[in-house]
Amino acid sequence: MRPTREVGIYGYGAYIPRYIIENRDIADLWGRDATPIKSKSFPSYDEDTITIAYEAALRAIESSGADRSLIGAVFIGSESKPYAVKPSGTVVAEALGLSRNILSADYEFACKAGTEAMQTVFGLVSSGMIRMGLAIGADTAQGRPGDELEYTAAAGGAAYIISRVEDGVLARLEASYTYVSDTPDFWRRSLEEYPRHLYRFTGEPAYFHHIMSSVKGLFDEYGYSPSDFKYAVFHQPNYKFPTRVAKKLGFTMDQIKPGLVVALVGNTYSGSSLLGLAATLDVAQPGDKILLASFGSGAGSDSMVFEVTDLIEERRMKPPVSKLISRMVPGDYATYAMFRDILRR
Amino acid sequence: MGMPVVAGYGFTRVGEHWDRGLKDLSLEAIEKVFEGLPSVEIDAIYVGTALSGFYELQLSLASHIADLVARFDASVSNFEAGAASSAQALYNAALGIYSGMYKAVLVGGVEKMSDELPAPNYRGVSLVEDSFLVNYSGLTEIGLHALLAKMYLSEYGLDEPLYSYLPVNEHENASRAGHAQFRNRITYDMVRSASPVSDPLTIFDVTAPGDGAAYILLMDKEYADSLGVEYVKLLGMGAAGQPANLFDRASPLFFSASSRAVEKALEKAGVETEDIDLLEMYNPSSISGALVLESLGLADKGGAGKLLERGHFSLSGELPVNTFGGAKARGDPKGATAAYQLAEAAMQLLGRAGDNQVDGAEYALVHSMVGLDISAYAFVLGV
Amino acid sequence: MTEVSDWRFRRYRYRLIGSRCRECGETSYPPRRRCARCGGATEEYQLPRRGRVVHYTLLKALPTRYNRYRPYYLAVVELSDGTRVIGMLTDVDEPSEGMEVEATLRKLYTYGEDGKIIYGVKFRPVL
Repeated sequence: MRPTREVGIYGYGAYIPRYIIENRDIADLWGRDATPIKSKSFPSYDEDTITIAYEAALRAIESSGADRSLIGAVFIGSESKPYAVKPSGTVVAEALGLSRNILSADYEFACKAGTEAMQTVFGLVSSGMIRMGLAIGADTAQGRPGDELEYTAAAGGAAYIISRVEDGVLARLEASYTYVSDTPDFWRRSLEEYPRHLYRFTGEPAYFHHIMSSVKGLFDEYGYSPSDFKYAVFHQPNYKFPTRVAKKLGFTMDQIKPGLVVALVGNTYSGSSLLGLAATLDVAQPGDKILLASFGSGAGSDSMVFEVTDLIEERRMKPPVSKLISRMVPGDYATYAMFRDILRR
Repeated sequence: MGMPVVAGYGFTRVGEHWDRGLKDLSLEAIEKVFEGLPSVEIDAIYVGTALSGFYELQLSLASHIADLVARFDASVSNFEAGAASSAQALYNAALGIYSGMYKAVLVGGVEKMSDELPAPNYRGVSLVEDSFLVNYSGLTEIGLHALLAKMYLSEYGLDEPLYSYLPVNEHENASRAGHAQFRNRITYDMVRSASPVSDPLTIFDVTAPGDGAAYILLMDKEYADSLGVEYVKLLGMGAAGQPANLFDRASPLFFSASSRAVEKALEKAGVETEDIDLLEMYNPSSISGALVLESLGLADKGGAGKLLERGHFSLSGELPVNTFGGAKARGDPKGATAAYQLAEAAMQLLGRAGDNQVDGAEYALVHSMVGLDISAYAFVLGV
Repeated sequence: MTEVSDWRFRRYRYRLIGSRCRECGETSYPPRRRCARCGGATEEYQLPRRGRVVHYTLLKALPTRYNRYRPYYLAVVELSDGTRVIGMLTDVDEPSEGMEVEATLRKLYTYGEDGKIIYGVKFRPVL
């Protein structure tokens, strides 16, 4: 897909809660040996998807200097909305002091709701219906105690201000591509507290098939190859999947390394690939091409190609993702359980 | 113009009265007010309560107190202003007497705090402060006092919170007061090493919830003379206010409302600060007590702690303060607290203070305030 | 219903919108209609998000609504324009006087498991 009028990223911001829990602590509790990643972030008791979305969006606005009055949409992609019914975006918009003439909705497509929100805003900006829009992916992902997901389901998010290229962007969207199919590898029914998944079925037929189909589709349609890209970011539910899919598609570790934050941060679901993109933009230079490929269970993948512009230096997020990560402090399982309301007073 | 006198008083012990409610406590206190008095016609009943609507879901309490004592000819008024609820009631009752409209007013307050759990109590007593700050900034009365203590220590460069000698003195005075909630003696070290509630304040630096009722019979002097009852005179009173927000004040460490209210009361009474023989002040914390003393000019700024340590404000000191233990040790049943203070001052002036008697007391100053000096009331009593 | 008054106050609790006196420039948070210093009329004023901790206390006597988790720090924060405000600190183990903080949006309390979530300003260390 290519928009009629050229659009891109005007500003970006990310946020990760302050607390991490070591996978080792979780594994010891349940008597397991293997751990998929080193640690994962978890929200403080006073944080949720709305506050994370706010933090990320605020950083995007403040770091880029975007004019709040020009923002015409706030779409938040999340699978951990604080309310089943009631928009998250209205709280975020009010707290950010945005206009009341904004489009706002919560998006859900498992882990790809964030890129889905971006695609929507690309279209709205390109069509001229809005001047700028905020697309946010944020989650406080749930992992049932003892379940495999408990090791990786993390909290965090990233926000992107999308504008037309002529308004000045730090990265220009060259093309995007989407691939979806009815493949239920992971889901959460209404009123259920925790999602369920089909173990190894989440791999080959779900994650790998969809990401590879969308990236290959993008390459075929627009004539890209892995060597065109300085960096690539893949959805990162764990460390193994994104490294393996990169290899299968012909990307090197150097290309994916800057955006691979999962080992310490965990899987931030709707925030995951967007957080990886933010970490990549933190180090990207003008002229660099970046491939972004999300994955959402159920299932689908959005692929996007960005080219970084000269504006990157002045618009980089302050502080960078690396600083958000280095400030994190470990919490024990009891603190994790209390903050996550698993342990209730 | 009438001249108000305190012709009777009655109160319950302050404590946890599990088996008695607002009306039971009020009845006991009111019956004590009238003990030994000839038949009195009551023109009005003024009742203060901080939280009766919160604890016992009873509003318009004065109507129900009138009903309780079957005084259906009296006009009734309700007062709600935290620990100054009954001070407001007294102030307005006195106005009724001064105006000549009333010859006798039954005025007091009651609170039933033990019915609530700690968390609602901490919230409830904080609601006299700006509700925006209480609801959205996490402010509580105790937290506010703790921050004030930090400001105080820092502003005056003090290493030791000597203001914590105030609860030591208050517990000492309460140890001989039959109606006091806490009669145990404590030391400065005990105060400092007790569990913190909000550092630097510990549980001994702040008041605790208590149940109690206290009522006063305020009469016009002529009517009291005609009945031949013993009394003390209400020589003067004053009231003033200041911004609720500490940072909207000229100085957070100066209680200008208290200062101004006392100034007005003394002026009206024609009494000098030096003439005062005892002070019953309202301080829900040790630090606020130090600030009241300093704001009234009874101690240098930052110097109240040293004077307290020296015994300046103890029963045998130069100016006895909170002679039955004050809110800290006698107890702090919010809506009733000011009525206790007035009754205790009257006991001193009538020479009925027993082991706590301040010898030869002629003038007493009673001070009350809403929250952290948002509004303040002062009364000067004399024999 | 305090859920409705929560709504009326949302601008002020989300965004550190205070007031400034049109006459003497005095600033306040929460906002006030008349200046405490000179009595002049005031206007709404966006306070700066950054400031430093002047004083703090660990509040252990927790009130309803704020008693579900741990004791919290209540602090006097001096914002970069000099305005002093009282607020809760979050994401901090042990604050210090002079610590640089910024206002952020956090959950304050909820009306039970099925009730509204109330958000508002808290201060956390500058990232």
